[in-house]
Amino acid sequence: MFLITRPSHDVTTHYISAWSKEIIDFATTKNKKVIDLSNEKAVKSTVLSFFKKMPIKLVMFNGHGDESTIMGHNNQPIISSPENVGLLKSKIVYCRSCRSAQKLGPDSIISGATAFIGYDDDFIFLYDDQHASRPLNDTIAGKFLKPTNTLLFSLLKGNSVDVSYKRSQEEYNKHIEELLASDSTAEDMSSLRFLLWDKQHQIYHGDGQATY
Amino acid sequence: MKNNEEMRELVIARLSTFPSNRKISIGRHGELTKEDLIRHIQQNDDIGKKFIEIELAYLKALTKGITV
Repeated sequence: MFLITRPSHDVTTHYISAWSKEIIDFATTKNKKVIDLSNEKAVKSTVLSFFKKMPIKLVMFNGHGDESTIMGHNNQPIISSPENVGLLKSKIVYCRSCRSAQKLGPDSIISGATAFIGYDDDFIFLYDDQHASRPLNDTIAGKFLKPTNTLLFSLLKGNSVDVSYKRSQEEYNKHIEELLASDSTAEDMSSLRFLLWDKQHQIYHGDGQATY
Repeated sequence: MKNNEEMRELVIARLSTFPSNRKISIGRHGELTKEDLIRHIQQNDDIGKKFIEIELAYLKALTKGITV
């Protein structure tokens, strides 16, 4: 069973929530049971309730975070280390947030998580202000968010954590190559520094051979 | 780079081609325009320092040759 949190209380979370919909659609086409906790449902009490009731093996947290915390709706903490990191035991976790792979990730593995994929520094993306109300039409943001979705698509297809991580890194490379092409505009090239940053700071801890 | 001030000037100069219609989401720091970013760099605060770190990592990659 796959659980995903999608807070949407500011521009950043609005974007990552909208871009997460294709992950849910993809999981459904693969006949995977999805628990979609969007907006006000993306809070600790709801997540913990599902963790207790359901055999959840794959979790994707979207939202703000820091070295030791993943947050949900209105930046309320959902998982923190050391407080409740043990709740990630026996789960494959993907965290689309800032810095959580720095401390929370390794701590979760010590506490029994199967694998933890995330970013060990700030997760950055660019967006076009004119598309802020329709994030899925924003091709600039797409260059940053598609590689992160690719990782989930791969896991949902049954590939291992390591293979899925590499697919995501390859997707980053594809977008970087496009920007390095000679016909790229200076405006497009301005994205490059941030895409490279995200690629370099996406890491995983734990069992790379684990599958969902 | 001789000192931090020169580094800040270099990074601000390199931001000149950054499009004004684009915003940067830097996690907990929120959403920033080019003008916001320049102000943070001039103030040498945490966000400004973070952006300098990103730019230096980018310049290092360019120097080495970006391999994909």
